[in-house]
Amino acid sequence: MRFPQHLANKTIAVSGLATGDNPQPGVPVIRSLREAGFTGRIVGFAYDSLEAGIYVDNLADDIFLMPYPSSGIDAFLARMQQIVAQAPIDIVIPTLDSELLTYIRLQSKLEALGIHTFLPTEDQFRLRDKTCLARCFDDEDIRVPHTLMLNEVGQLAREDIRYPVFVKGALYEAYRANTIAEAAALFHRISAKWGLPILVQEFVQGEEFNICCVGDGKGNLLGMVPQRKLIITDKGKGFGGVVVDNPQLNEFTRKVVASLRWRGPCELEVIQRADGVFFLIEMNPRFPAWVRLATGAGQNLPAMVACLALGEDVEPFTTCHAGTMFIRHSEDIIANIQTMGQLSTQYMLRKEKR
Amino acid sequence: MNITRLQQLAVSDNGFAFDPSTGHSYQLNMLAAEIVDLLLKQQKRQEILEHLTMEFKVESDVAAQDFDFFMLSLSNLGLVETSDALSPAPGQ
Repeated sequence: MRFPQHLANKTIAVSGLATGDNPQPGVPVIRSLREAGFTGRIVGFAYDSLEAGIYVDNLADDIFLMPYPSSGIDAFLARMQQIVAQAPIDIVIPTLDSELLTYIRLQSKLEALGIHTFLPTEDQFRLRDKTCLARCFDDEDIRVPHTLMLNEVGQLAREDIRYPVFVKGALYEAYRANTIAEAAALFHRISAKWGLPILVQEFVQGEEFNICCVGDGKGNLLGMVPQRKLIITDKGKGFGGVVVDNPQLNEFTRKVVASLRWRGPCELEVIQRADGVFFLIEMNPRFPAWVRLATGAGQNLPAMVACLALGEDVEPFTTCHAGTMFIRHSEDIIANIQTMGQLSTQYMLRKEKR
Repeated sequence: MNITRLQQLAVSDNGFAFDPSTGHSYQLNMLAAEIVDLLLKQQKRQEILEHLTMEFKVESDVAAQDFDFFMLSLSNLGLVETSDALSPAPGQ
């Protein structure tokens, strides 16, 4: 997909510039925009001056430090007003779970500032929440593993929990527990980091797939790239993967997106049991960190979302190249400490024109 | 024998095989690549064994043992569904 020429002078802001062992999707989203031929200005929204994407050459033109979503919606909006007072922003593509609700709630106010988004509604966002997912689908073809929400460690002894299980934080982290003792240790570890509730999910054995897709908000899929992870880190992150072509998986994905009438980008985590039955494990409400694989496989979904945010008509993607693979590598970026100092003290970093 | 899944494999000349429906990949040695090629040409067990015996200059029972073991591997991977027609005859 080539970025329309008449949009070439727009400004697009993208969040989530951290990389490292738990990478965020911002860097691959920006790279995808550039690969689509976007020549306008790209702004990076960072929460921390040590997000590595800040220091990558030829990535973002400007960087702005943002207040954490926990600072409240007013602080967030005030910061946006400050930023657009310096230079307009036409589109923002948020890529982090923790900030999405803020963006969804601020949509009309952002529109008033000239900032366009392509996001799900708050209802859609809440329905796919880990704590609701198990009971949000009427379609019997969409199965979700039995999931319990726990607020006390003693609840792990419930009779309806059959080990092994997955123990998950409400927002982040998930680990397999084979015994109640392992589950209890994970309960304390995850709740200390991310708070309560803790989710305990039935363990489903099978082939795991991840699907990056975009829904139009009317029940239709505009693009979809499924992959199987080839390399999984000790944090469960996919650092390598290959695009697959599995018609049953594609159909399952269509049903999920149609059922929720999902609007915007998302990532599905799906397991296909040996008998062929699919289970929806999680639905993440934003692009995954491996979104550049989708671009490499022929579906530039970030560019599509940028166009959709501006109300452009887009042609749905219908094919992707199975067998396209990615392997993630890390590298050392060399920068001057004054660069970090400028960002830390002025909350912004204007880079030289590319 | 149902070889639908086997037919979906993308097999390169160097014996690297990719299953697009699952994302799994396999490395076939020369013998395995030969068997897959013959299976895809719809050849029967006896025809394949005769070919292997000639091509690799091995005794027929060695070829049969290798062939049956490989077919078992393909079956375990879900790439073929074997039937009686393929199974070795009693005593073989």
